[in-house]
Amino acid sequence: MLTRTMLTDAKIRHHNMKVEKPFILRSGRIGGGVWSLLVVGLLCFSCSSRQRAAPETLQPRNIGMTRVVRIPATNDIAQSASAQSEMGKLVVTLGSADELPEGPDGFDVTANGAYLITDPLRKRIAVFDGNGAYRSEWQIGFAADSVTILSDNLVQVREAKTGELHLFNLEGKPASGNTTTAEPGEARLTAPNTAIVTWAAATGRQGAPLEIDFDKAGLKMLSVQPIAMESSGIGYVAIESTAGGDSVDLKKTVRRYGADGKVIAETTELPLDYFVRPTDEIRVRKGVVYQLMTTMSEVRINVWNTN
Amino acid sequence: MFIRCLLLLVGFSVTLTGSAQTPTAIATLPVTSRDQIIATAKRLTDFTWICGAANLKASCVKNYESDWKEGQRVTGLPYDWGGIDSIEEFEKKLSKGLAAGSHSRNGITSCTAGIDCSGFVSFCWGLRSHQYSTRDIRQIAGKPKYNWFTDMKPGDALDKPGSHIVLFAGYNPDGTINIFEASGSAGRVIYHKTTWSRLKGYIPLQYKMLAEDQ
Repeated sequence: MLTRTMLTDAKIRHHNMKVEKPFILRSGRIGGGVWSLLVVGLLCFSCSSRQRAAPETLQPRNIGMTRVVRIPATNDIAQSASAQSEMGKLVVTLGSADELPEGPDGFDVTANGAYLITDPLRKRIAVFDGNGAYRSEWQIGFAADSVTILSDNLVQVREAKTGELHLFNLEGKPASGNTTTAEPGEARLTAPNTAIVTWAAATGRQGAPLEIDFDKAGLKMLSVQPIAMESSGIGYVAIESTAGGDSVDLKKTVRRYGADGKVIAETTELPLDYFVRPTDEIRVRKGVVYQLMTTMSEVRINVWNTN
Repeated sequence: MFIRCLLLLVGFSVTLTGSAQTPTAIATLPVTSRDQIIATAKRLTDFTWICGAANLKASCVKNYESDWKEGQRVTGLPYDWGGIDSIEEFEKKLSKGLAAGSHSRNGITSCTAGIDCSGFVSFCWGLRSHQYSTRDIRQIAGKPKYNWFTDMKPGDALDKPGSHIVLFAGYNPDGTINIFEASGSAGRVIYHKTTWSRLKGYIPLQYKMLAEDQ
């Protein structure tokens, strides 16, 4: 860390010197011989800096958004409740001054790539295939704001109005088992732009903390969220960062870390102009990152394949 | 030249007076402390009530659909668009048979009880009438100069004019924050952890009459 800071400082000094060069030449205060020495010195310094910096500047593979799955939404609650043709649409209210729009804010992805999406205004979970085609619905009888697949055939659904947790099987029938509010891990910011993630016992990686090092010009790391840990030891972490601004303005990416703790890949920036605020913002299944984005007219699942 | 300058100066003064909250109005605002703000927010969040059959119906709203079930025990004062009820006022209205909560899609109502997002923040800041919406709450709260990603204090707010406002409660070790809010989708006042991405575009605000600043 100390070396990294020193290198960064050196780069800044180097940069400043380059900027000041024309002034020195114009002012004529330094003679040609001295100037040549300075240039040679600078070149040597630059080479050695680059050699020393090489392992630190290894950048993760940048993953662009692979595809967008679009599911239509309607703003007409009354019509959607009665018309069979509307079953494949999700309901979004427009909100108003002092009330946020309501609509699908929770989702998860099954092992075969189907999407379970909360449809709180119709008190159901809607099921869509990997291409966004409507498949079925679970009439759960309450507004849900979060859905989490706990195991092969156990799904946890949270009731929005009470926070109560309910269990269902993958056919949408009530099931028994243990509910959980446990996160995949805990993160702690340790210094500006560094953090430690400790994975939960259930992930099988407890005791092997992951060091997060954030180094992006002009950006400061704001938060770190452990998203998922695969059995292979590959972990996924969402990072929020900011360059400041007049209001809360930020960028968000998801990084994939190898079992050895090295960063392998990073998604491009997640779009954050949410119309409906998501409860389940990001899910990861088999190396694929999914983001829920509900707009006024559709529910989008943004997909990044980090494999 | 002198006259032109004088006119400009007078015009500038008038503009300033017109746009700012008058000193008299500020002086009538209640003084409160950060501890009091958070204690009030906790009280409204932890408040438990039971929904009676009469509270499922709103006589003044066509096609009203309640968020609740008969006999349901709920924690958190219900979300009521345009409302700013205290716990005592809410209980009184409930016993009179008014409906528990409503949404903007129900319009402004006189037969429902509860609190909305700007009503909630105003109430925590000590106000007892719904004078300020998310659009004009800046009249009683200033935008702080500090770094809001690290230096906000409990009792400050995050506001998106014309949309929503939440009360800041504290930072978490992972850099996320905890907030109180009167949430339409949750149907009540809640306390929870949130990421910054869910608050993109919000503006931090600090109440102008904090006891600490007087």
